[in-house]
Amino acid sequence: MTLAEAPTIASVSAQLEQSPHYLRIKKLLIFTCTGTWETNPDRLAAIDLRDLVAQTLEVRPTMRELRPTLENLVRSLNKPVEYLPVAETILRSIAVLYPDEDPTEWFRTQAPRPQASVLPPQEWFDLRLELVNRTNPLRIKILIARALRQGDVTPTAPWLTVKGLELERLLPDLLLAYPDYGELCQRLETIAPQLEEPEEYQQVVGTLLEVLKPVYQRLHKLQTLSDAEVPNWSPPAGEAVEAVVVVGPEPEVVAVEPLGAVPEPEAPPIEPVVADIADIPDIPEPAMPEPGVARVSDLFQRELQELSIEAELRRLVSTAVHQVIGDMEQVFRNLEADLETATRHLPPATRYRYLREFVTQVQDMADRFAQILQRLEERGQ
Amino acid sequence: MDAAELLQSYSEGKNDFSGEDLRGIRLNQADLININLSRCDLHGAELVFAYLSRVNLQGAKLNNANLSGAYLAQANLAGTDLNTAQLHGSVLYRANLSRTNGIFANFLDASLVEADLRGANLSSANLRGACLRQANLSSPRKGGDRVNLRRADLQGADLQGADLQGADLAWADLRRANLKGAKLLHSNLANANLSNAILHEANLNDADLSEAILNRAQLHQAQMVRAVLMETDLTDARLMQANLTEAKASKAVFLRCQMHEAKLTRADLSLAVLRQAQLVQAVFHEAYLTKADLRDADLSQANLLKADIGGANLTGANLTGATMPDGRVMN
Repeated sequence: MTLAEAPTIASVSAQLEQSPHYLRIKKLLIFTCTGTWETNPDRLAAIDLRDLVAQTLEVRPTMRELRPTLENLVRSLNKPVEYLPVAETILRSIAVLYPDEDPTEWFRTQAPRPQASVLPPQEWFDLRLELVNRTNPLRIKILIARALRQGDVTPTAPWLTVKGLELERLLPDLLLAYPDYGELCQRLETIAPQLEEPEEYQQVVGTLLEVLKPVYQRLHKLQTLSDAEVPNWSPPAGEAVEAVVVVGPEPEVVAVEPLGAVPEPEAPPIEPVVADIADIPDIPEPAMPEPGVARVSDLFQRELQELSIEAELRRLVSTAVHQVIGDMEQVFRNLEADLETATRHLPPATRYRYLREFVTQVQDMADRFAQILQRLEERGQ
Repeated sequence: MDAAELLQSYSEGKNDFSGEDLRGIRLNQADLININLSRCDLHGAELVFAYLSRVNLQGAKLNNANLSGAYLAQANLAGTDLNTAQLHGSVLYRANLSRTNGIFANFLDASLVEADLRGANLSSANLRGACLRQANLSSPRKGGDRVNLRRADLQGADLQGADLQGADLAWADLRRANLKGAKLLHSNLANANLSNAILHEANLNDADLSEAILNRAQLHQAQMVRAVLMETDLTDARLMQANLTEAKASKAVFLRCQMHEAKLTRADLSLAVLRQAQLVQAVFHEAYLTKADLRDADLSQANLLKADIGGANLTGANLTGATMPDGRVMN
């Protein structure tokens, strides 16, 4: 790159202004710089994007500081799916203005975002393998990037614009952005004809949908199982949860899903910190969903996050239970051997009585623990 | 020869273009299945999304060429010059890339399933997210070229079941990589970063992992016999039933490691940090634990028979049912 081509605040701002989401870009940057969520259209219009970019460089002098700020902000919004690609656009564009950071290297060093935890790592690998075995990896990336409006995919040289994107991230983002399988089908089928060599992309769409369908079905099944118990808490900000599973409902279920199954609005599991009210030119939406009028996609989005945490908690509990059972079996065997030696002159019933006493005592102790925990749980509500 | 001439000749049935000067040729999306381009000079050529399945590119110069999204399944790329070439999202299923020179080549998200990469030099290459399942990256124990992946970026790469015996992976970035069941015997992983990597059932016998980072790595049932783990950071790693017999783990950090039933027979763990490690039923038979930090470790039912624990710090350690070096079983 020559000096004349070197990125400047003006060039980056101009690039961001071309984005169809430039108002959202402004909102995110204003919050980053001032901590204020600006929704007034006049004030938004009055603020110069160049000033905002310059101020962002000042308040967040490294990409390492900027990225978590934006990610936490997006997570706290009531429309995280819509804002995620906006934050990505900002990060990708602005990265070139951080001379101390090689943006490529920077993207490499980031830990996977929590979204990547929607499936166990092994399953992501299996999913990717199936995809790359059946179709072209680059075309998959171009298609997904287009569906997520990431990478500004242009019809002329789309491979250039997805160079900075990774399938490892694109796939989880796609599942999160489209919790509804029907919506995903519709979106992908709309995109394919718009790309160069559309017949090639039709094949990619077919494969992608085929590979993802069982994932959606399985996740939906898990969601059905977990519907009754939705934890009433949110993860600590910025904490990467190594969770196991999230859900992806099927369209027919979306239609019949009773809204009563949704968490109570007065105590939402993930409390939106920032209300996004006047999202001009978008259709305004209520910041807090009212009972019965909540957007289904938002609710699923929330449940996706909750259930991924819940699944991890269940896994932790299950591991601990297996460990205790394993230990207990060992203790039991040792006790049995000791009792056998000590009671060798007595009838076997004596040994069994003492073994039963052991089990009863352990059971009593477990019951006491359970009672204490129940009291603590009740007190904590 | 320009693109139009080549395509015309190919459509007329000519297949052999070996040795041609094709520098900078633009053949994006061209259908050239089975073509012979061996020893061609394709420096800076553009072959994006080109169909090159079973193509013969043996000994070709492809440096700086753009082969992004190209279909190169079962292609012969043996001995090619791929330095700084773009192979982003390309399909190299069962391709022959043996003795290829691909320094700084970009294989981001490429499919290299069952590819032959023996003797390849891919140092500093970008293999992020690449799928290398069952790929052959093995090196002969003596003589022959060792696969060079020094400083390669293999983040999130899928190397499940790959053969990496003797490969040089020093300073490689293998964060979040899938190495389940991979053969890493005698490999050099010194200073490599394997944080969050999946290494279940991987074979790391005699591997050099000195100063490597394996935070939160999953090493259940991994074979690490005689592995060099000097100053290796294994904080929060999972090593349940791993076999570390005769491992050289002096000054290694096993902080909060899950090491139930791990085998550490005759392992050198001098000055190692095993603080808060879960070592239930671990076997330390004849292990060297001099000045090891075992504070708050769970050593219940562990076997420390004939282990050297001179100067080891066992403050707060749980030794219930543990067999001590003198054979005494703790209550």
